[in-house]
Amino acid sequence: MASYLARRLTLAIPVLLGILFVTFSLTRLLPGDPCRSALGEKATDEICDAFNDRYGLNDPIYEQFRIYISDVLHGNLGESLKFGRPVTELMVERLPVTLELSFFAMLFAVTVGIPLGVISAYYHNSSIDVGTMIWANIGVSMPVFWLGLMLSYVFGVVLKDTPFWLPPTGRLTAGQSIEPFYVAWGLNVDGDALTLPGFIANINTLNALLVRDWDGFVDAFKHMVLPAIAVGTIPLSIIARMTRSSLLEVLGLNYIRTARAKGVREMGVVVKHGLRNALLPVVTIIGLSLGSLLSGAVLTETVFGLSGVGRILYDSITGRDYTVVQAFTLIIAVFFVFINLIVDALYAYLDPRIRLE
Amino acid sequence: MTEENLLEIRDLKVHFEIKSGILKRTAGVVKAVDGVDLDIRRGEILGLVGESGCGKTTVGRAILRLVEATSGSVKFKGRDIFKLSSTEMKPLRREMQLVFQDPYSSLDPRSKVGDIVGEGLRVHGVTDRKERYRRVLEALEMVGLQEPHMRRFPHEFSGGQRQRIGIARALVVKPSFIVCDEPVSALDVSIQSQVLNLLKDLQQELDLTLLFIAHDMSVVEHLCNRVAVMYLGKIVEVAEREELFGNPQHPYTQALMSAIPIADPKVKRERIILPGDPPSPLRPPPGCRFHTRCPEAIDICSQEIPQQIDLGRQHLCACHLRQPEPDAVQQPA
Amino acid sequence: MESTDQSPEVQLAAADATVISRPPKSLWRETLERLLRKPSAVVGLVILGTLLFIAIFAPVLATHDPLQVLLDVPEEGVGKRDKPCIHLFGCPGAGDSLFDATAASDIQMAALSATNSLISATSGNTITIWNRGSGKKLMDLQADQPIFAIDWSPNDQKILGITEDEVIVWDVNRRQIDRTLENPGGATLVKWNADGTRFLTASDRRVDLWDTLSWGVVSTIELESDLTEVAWNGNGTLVMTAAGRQVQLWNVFTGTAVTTLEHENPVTSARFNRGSTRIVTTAGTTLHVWNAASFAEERVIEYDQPLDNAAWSDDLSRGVERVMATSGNTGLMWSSRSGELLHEFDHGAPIEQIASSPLATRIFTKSEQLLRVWDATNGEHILSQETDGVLTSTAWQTNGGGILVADGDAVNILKTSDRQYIMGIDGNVRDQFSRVIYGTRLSLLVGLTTVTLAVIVGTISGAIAGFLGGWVDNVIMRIMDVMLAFPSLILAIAVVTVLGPGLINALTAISIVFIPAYARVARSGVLSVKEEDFVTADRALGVSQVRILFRRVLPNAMAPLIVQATLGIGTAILDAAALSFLGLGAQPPTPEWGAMLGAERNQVFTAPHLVFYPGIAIMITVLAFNLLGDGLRDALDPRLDR
Ligand SMILES: Nc1ncnc2c1ncn2[C@@H]1O[C@H](COP(=O)(O)OP(=O)(O)OP(=O)(O)O)[C@@H](O)[C@H]1O
Ligand code: SF4
Ligand SMILES: [Mg+2]
Repeated sequence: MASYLARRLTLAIPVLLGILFVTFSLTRLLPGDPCRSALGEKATDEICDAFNDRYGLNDPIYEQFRIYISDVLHGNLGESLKFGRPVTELMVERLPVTLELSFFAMLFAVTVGIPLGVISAYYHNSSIDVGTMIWANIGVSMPVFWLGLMLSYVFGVVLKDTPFWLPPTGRLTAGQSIEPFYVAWGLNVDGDALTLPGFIANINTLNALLVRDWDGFVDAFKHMVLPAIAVGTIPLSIIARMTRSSLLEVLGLNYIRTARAKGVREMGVVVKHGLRNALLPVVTIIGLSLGSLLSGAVLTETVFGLSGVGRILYDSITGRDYTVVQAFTLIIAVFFVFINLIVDALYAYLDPRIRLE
Repeated sequence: MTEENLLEIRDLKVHFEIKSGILKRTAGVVKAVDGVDLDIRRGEILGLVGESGCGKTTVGRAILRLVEATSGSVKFKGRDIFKLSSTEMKPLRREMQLVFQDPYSSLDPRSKVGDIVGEGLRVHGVTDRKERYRRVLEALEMVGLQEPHMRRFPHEFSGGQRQRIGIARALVVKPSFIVCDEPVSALDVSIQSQVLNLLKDLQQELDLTLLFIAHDMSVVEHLCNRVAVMYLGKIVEVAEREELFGNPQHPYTQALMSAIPIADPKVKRERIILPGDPPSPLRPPPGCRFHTRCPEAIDICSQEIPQQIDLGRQHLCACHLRQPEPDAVQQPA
Repeated sequence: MESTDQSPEVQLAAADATVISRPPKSLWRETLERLLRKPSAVVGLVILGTLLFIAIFAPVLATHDPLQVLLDVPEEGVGKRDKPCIHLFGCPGAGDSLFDATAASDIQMAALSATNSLISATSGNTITIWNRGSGKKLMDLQADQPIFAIDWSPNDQKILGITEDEVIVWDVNRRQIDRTLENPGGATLVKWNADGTRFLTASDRRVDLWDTLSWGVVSTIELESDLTEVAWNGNGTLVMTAAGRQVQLWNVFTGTAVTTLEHENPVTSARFNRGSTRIVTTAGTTLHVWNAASFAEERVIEYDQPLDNAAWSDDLSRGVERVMATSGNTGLMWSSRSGELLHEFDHGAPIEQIASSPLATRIFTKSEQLLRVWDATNGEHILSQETDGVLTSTAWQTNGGGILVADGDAVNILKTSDRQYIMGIDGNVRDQFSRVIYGTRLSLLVGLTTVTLAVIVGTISGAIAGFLGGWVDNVIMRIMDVMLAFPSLILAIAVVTVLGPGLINALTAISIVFIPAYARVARSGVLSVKEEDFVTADRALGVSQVRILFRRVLPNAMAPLIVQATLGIGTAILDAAALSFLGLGAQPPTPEWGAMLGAERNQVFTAPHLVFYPGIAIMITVLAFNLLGDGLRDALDPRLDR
């Protein structure tokens, strides 16, 4: 197992280098003069020379690449032109939102998707199955941002004044606030030491749990429901489909038929014997869905007024804040590579045959 | 090189390197063919038998230069084909053809039979469509198919018919030598005899030389003039059919013979059961390759590689226990 | 193998050769037949056929030009802020009510707010306000005395009302009185100027001008005879009064007359045109058109009866410039350029008001109990509405699609034509339906071109990698690995960021992002086909590498590629829509579904239909490709073979 992991890790290195190269080229390939696009059209030649010197833009390209890599390795991802703050700082601020959203989206996708898949497989070819699969097909065909918009309209406007109303935007109701847990616990932190606690405290639901603020938790959770459904629907559909097809494969259709003939209690058998094996491909799909989850978050955060990674990416694209685009692209890709590594490892752990290959 | 040999194989070795890891280190070498000497005479059907994985296919393909040989030489009509460039090789390809084991994977499912058979003509400069049509039809009729079949797709045919198409594809370029790589082993027994008889008839009619690869001794007995027995990348025994079947010398050949079912239930034959599995060609045993399973093995067997020795009557055998009959030694090899 | 007899062999061979009885059938046809046995694939095919039809015949199906701002077509139908009309049948037609409400008592005056989103009705001491879109009553505003008149501020935030003693300013947002000012003396009328910085109050012989900084009177105009008309010009710098035989223009700051337009008879009415560049007046039997800058009389039109109710029906952007007046039961319309009488409208009762829709496509005439709508272009009668009570006020909706009517205690908005905008009108006054229809073209085109491009490049590079192997394979596939390390949309975003926004760039980005998927599929297909015996047979025949690759290997490795490509079209359409939504793809006003969603995203709470339709269109298209792709996968699945 360890050697398998080591092998996979070494395989990831050239890919990571490639990613760095792509994000590096991103800013170098931008049309126009980097100095003037940063400082404005009116910057004089002298100012630009100084600028180029300062950012090493006069160095040979391979040297620039080397510097870029060493910068990245030192955690220096550049400074946002728009916010005038280091990108790393922005990331610490924005990441919790996206993490929280992704977590709930995945939770939704898995807890609904797997049972749906199991039920579909169990009642194979019944109207339940056909219905579920039609919905799954529709689920993967919807634009995430559109689903988000429609959900916020239906739950925020149409169902207003009913118990089903859900807040269509924001993270907390205006006026509501949750005390950061480090304050509530009387921890004395500030400055750099605040980074990690601040990060955790910014995950509203988690923070609310930590300080046992139940109202705050419910409020934060309610705000997460619609975005999570929007982002989670595509993974949900994929997971449901995958669970169903791999269950069918594992159990064999005849088995299902006999199970059905024997009555509903056989459902337990399906879950017990079939699901364990059928979950293997599902694990992969869950891992791979994280990619679409991230893309979904980028598109959906703007719709729901959540200031996460997606939002800042959107803002910096529209605001031509290239360092931010570059840094976030890099981080997302690296994150994605590691997720894939973890999925591979998990897969190898679940299915020993893979390690030998 | 004697006039009667169409093909002379000398010390043919085909090693496959197994690579692994990102750095593509060579993790091991499969010695699929490891020093084969064999002559194929003009106009004969030479059977090549041996267990699965012993390297028969690899020998056949190396002769046709479909796999790169590691060393050794193959002389076809006196020319060492390994020394030829691919352009020089092209005209020779017309003369040496191949019939495959699996009639399902050997025909392109997306081409019509006429195009499959005609491809060889196209490659070898028959540009005239009418001429091509005529010769394709001729080849198809030779194997017992008719004109309408030209416009059909392979999946519309039975296994036996597909094999006929495969044979027609080989015949259409008028080769003098054909490697038949277990051409009947994937077919039903009832169809097998038809295809075998067809091959035999064609061989006589067209004066072909065949290398007939098989792992089934009875098929070889039915068809071949001469038989070579292969074990783990080496030829262990070669002889005329009657000689080999009547007087098998190598312990491995004897074991193979004992496994042939006999039609007459009264005749009893002692069956030699070989212990264990054949060793992996990745790590062939030293000395005689067969010594790990040989019922007669002696000490020297595990140390020295036995040489092919002519036991007389054109009977070659590679075993430390077999010595030439005194009167046969004088005969020129 | 014992049978070595020659005799049965010949017969067997013959029998073997005639086994086939099936008609010749190509592999493609068989695949297609298998595909057609899958209901979902058939559904997909049918939808795609329909979409293709829509795309090809978009110009015929679309009711409007998708790019055209609806200025020169009659203003009508379901407007941007109206409820969407989903069905072609059952939508309100001419004469149907778009809004219906009842006030507590008889209405003296009803009014649309400046943006038309609120409606007010004044009765007695009360102003009742409804939301025009939802029809819900929002509030009652109260005064101590009966309210003579009110006026909405240009931003809908405030209402000015006037009573015997007071001028009241209500704050609509806070639903309460903002301030109360003293009525300077018998004033019964209030009017905001165009930007809400000033207003005027008027009694019979006196006009007071106020400003909203000091909330005090800045100047006062005294008149010698009774006012027949008082109005602001467009930018709020001049006030026009008509009294006696004179029409005068007053400087707001000094309260002095800028000019006096003298008439031979008492002036019965006077009006600015829309740009305040001209004034039309009626006096006696003549109608006068004055230049509001040079004060020259540009045209005098004589009629044989006394004229009243002068009005404009003009849209200078289209070169339409008409003047109107009434005479007894008849409404009249002239070209103000030529003075030619264009139409006479026979109302059938003494006309009290004649008014043109804002874009001058329609007019209405109103008498005490009858309202008629006419086509301004050809003078044809469109509809009429009779009431039991007295029609107290009527006004055009700014989009021209309806007329506010108050009679008795009822307020409603009368739809003025049968024409429908099936999916409403977007924020830029373009027909959403036509845009959605044209969007089909673009989306299909986007899906097909991106995937075609990606398939070509991906297949070639993947096939070369798989076929040649070695370092070529290594280099190509490592590049693909790097590209696959990015979530596809994120990479596409990065690429467009470099290329710059735009449809073509978005297409390029999506194509690039899709390449690795096809390269992988092609490579693995080639790798497996390469080892097939029929390829070896070609090599044994001496067929060239290139010919083997393209004629033998690739066609046989195509099946998974076709499946992948079909599914990929769906994804490409989604990604393109996403890029456009983010503003990186198709730029407005291109009728691209994603861009349409992006443009109207902020309207989702007020005009959800504008967001709904493009999204549904995307979903259906993508769904069709997904269904077809799934069907193809099953139809080409080797496991179902033999
Ligand atoms: N391309 C290759 N790479 C690595 N090893 C190979 C390759 N081709 C063949 N081998 C190995 O070489 C050995 C001989 O294979 P070959 O196909 O010649 O055997 P065979 O005698 O034809 O067997 P069978 O009767 O099963 O056809 C086998 O161990 C096989 O695994
Ligand atoms: S050489 Fe020895 S091991 Fe090999 S076959 Fe002969 S007796 Fe057996
Ligand atoms: Mg073989």
